[in-house]
Formats: sequence, C-alpha cells, structure tokens
Amino acid sequence: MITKLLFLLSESFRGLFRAKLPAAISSITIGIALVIFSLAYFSYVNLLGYSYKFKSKYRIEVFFHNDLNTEEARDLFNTILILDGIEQGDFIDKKKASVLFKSYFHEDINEIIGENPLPMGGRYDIALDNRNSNQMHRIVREIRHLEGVDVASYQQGIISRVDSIVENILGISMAMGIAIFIISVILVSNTIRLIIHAKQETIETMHLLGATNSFIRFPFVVEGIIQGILGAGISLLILFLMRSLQTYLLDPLIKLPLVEPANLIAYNFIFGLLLALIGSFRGISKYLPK
Amino acid sequence: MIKFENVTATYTENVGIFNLSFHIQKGELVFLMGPTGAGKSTVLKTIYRDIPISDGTLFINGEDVGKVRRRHVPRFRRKIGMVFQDYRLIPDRTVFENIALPLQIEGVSKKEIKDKVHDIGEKVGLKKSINNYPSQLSGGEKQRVSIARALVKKPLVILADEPTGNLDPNVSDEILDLLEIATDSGAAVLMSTHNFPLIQPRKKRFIELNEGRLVVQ
Ligand SMILES: Nc1ncnc2c1ncn2[C@@H]1O[C@H](COP(=O)(O)OP(=O)(O)OP(=O)(O)O)[C@@H](O)[C@H]1O
Ligand SMILES: [Mg+2]
Repeated sequence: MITKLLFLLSESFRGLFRAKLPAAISSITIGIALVIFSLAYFSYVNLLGYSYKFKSKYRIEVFFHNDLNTEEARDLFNTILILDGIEQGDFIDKKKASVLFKSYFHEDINEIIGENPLPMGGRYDIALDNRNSNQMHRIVREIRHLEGVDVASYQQGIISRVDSIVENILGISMAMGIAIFIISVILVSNTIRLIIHAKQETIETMHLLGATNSFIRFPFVVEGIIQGILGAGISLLILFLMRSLQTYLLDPLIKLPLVEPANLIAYNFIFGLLLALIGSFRGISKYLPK
Repeated sequence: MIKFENVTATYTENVGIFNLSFHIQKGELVFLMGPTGAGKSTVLKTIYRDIPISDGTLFINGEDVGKVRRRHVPRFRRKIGMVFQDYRLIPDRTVFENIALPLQIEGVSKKEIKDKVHDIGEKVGLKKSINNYPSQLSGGEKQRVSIARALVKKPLVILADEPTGNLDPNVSDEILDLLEIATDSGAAVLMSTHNFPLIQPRKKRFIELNEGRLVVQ
C-alpha cells in the first residue's frame, strides 16, 4: 500500500516534469481565472463596504408639536426610541435646535426673531437590518401616527436609489462569479484534457495491464492539485504586484480607502484546488473505461 | 487452465469467433494458427476480457470469465500475462519501467521490482538496453520488452499474440524457448502465429482457426 502510494506520487511529479509546457499552461490558466475571480470579489467587497458606510448615515428626523413641554417631548422621544428598527437617537431640545440652526444657516435665531421658535424633536439612527427604503418607510409611518409628532422624514429618494444599486451589485456579482467559475472550469478541464489526451494510449495500456481506474487517475489528480497550488501562487503574485502598482501610482493622486477582503489568500488556494480537481476529474473521465 | 465451451464472441453478426471449444492444461504450450483475419487475436482478447462473450462459457483458472464484474476486470487481468501484437509499450518510460509496470500496479516493493526486472531482462536479452526508451529499440527488442513485461509476474496464464511476428528465425526460436520455459513452472501458454515452419519442429499441440471457427485441433 505504502509502496504503491509512493510510486503513484513519484509518477505525478514525473508527469509534471514530462509535460512541463501543458502543466505550465494549465497552472497559468488557473492563475488568471483566480486573478479575475479575486478582482471581482475585491470589487464586490469594496462596493458593499462603501454602501454600508453610506447607509450608516441613514437617519430619521422628527419634529414635535410646538405646544409640547420639555417633559412631554422627552416622553415622546423615548416612545420613538423603543420602536422596532431604531438603533439610537439624539434628543433635540430647544437649545440644541438653535445650535443646529446656527450650524446650518450661520445665523442666531434668537437674535433674528427675539425668541426661539424652533420645535423640539429627535434624530434617530436606524438598526443595521432596517437600513433600506421599505423598512424606513414603515418606521416613519409609525412615528407619524404618534400623538405630538409634527413632521417625520428621511432621505427617501437617495435611499431607494442606493437600495436598487446595492441590489444590482449583488445580482451582477453573483452572476459574474458563477459565469467566471464555469468558464474557468471549462478552460482548466480542457487544458488538462490536452495533457491527458497525449497520454491516451498509456492510459489504455495501463488498463490492459490490470490497473484500476483510481490507480490511473491518481497521478493526474495529484498533478491537478499541484497545478492548483501553482495557479493560486501565480494569482497571489499578480495580485500583490497589482496592489504595489496601485499604491505606487494611484495613492499620490487619490486616496481610495480600499478594504482588503479577509481570507483572500485562503480563497485563492481553495478555489485553485477546486478548479484543478474538477478540471482533472472532468478531463480524465473521458478517457477511462466506464 | 484455459477452457472454452462453445464460446461465441462477435464484433458484428458474422465477424468474430463462433462456437469454440478447447482446453489448455496447466504447463501446456499451445499454438493458435490461422490466416490473417481468422480470429486469433479475438480469441486472446476474449480471454483477456477485452471482448464480451455472447454465448458459451470460458473458464480461466477456474474463474468464469463471463461472470467477472466490470469493476473486477483489473484484478482478473492481473492474473494473466499478455504479449500484445502491437507491443503496447509506454513511450515515455524506459525498458526497465515498462517491464516493472505490472509489479508497480500490484504494489510490489522497490527492491523486489529491481531484482525481478533485472532477472527477466537478462533472460530475454535486454540487459544492455534496460535504460533505453522504446523509440531507441529495434522491433525485435520491443517485442522482447513486451514479453518480459508479460512474464515478470510469473503469471499462470500467458497469452502471446504473434510474439515472433517481426523477428528473424533465430530470435523467434529464442522467444519460443522463453515461453516454453514459462510452462515449466506450471503456466498455460497460448500463442498465436501464422509461422507454421517455426512451430512445426516443436511438436506441440495447435489449434487452427478459419473465419472464427475451429478447423483442426
Ligand atoms: N475492434 C474490431 N471491431 C470489428 N471487427 C474487428 C475488430 N477487431 C477485429 N475485427 C475483425 O475480426 C476478424 C478477426 O480479427 P482478428 O484480429 O482476431 O484476426 P487475427 O487472426 O488476429 O489476424 P492477424 O493474423 O492479422 O492478426 C477480422 O475480420 C477483423 O476485421
Ligand atoms: Mg491478430
């Protein structure tokens, strides 16, 4: 058993060295597929990250009726605070309102009018799961029904637009991911099939000599694994070069706060192996007797 | 050892072998004769379970070939040593590696492989070219590699498809000697040939085929 395994392993390495060019082509194919895959994943993670950052600024602004006294206003503020979908809030009393007014209009309302006519109110952050136009619309409706609420509003137009953009990003990257994966599998298995095609007669002879399918397949699969690892290495090298280039060329011009997706290295190896394994299984199955 | 009972195996309706019955004992060397296209290779391929049996029964070393399951074909074939008409050597392996292959498939240890391959290599006269690749060999040398590969496991059943096809009479005679030596250790050998003058002096039994049917035994 051990001797057989050692023999098969040495066969696999010999296979690689005997067919250097096809093995290199296959590794490079895997590498390029992984680079495209990583870039797609990278863009996806970054776009999603930006959309999250943007969405964290989603707020609901509420103004209370002017005849509420401070105590009543505080109660109302707290009632809204415990509504479903509200994460946290700021109570805006008259004084704060005038500070806000000044920060917006650079004028002191007290000096203009002689008193402070600004209503009290609240500014609410939305819980993570509710940062979309449907949920925010629901929350705002609930708030408007409360006694003492004058106006409740959110940035409706922008939010529904961002929603549809995020949905599109999700859908497109999903479709692209699947397409890239299928294309890579076909490319890789065809490359591996080329290697195997050259060995068709050898496979037939081995079979006539009483080798089992798994005995024949083993070296090809190990070759595939090695190609997968090499492919992941190639991909990571290219990605690393791309990143250095980006830091070197782009950073002085525009500062893009790019997020590096976690586990990119692990994903490259996992997908490289997956591609190579599916590729070599698909590639060789055609040449094995059923 | 090899027992045909009314065996029919066909490629198409009237091409193949029909209703063959004969028996080859342990330690016996039998020649399979007949003109080209008579079905000699087909008989050997049927034994090798390369062609399915459509009628009758065929026993190899007590095992009913028709009943060998598809997934047991490799195990079944490992009991048989086959010399192919077209040698079937693996081009990117040396003579040594080609001869060693059946042992490697069995999982025999490296040292044992080395001993056995060198042993048989010497017997068939390949000592000098043991590290050459098939492309560096003459037809006769390739033939010997194919024979060495069939004999290296000391199988109980040896099938040889025109193993002297491309060889001059002297070498042919040596190869017949090798096959005859194999019978001494109990192997049953079935060898196809159309070279009657070569086998005549050996006074062995022969089976003659024509158009897939038995002529004389
Ligand atoms: N794979 C195949 N498919 C269909 N017909 C075949 C196949 N192989 C052989 N035949 C036919 O079966 C018949 C017997 O062929 P076979 O190879 O057994 O002859 P043979 O006696 O070995 O001839 P030779 O002396 O030339 O080797 C021939 O008519 C041949 O054309
Ligand atoms: Mg023939």
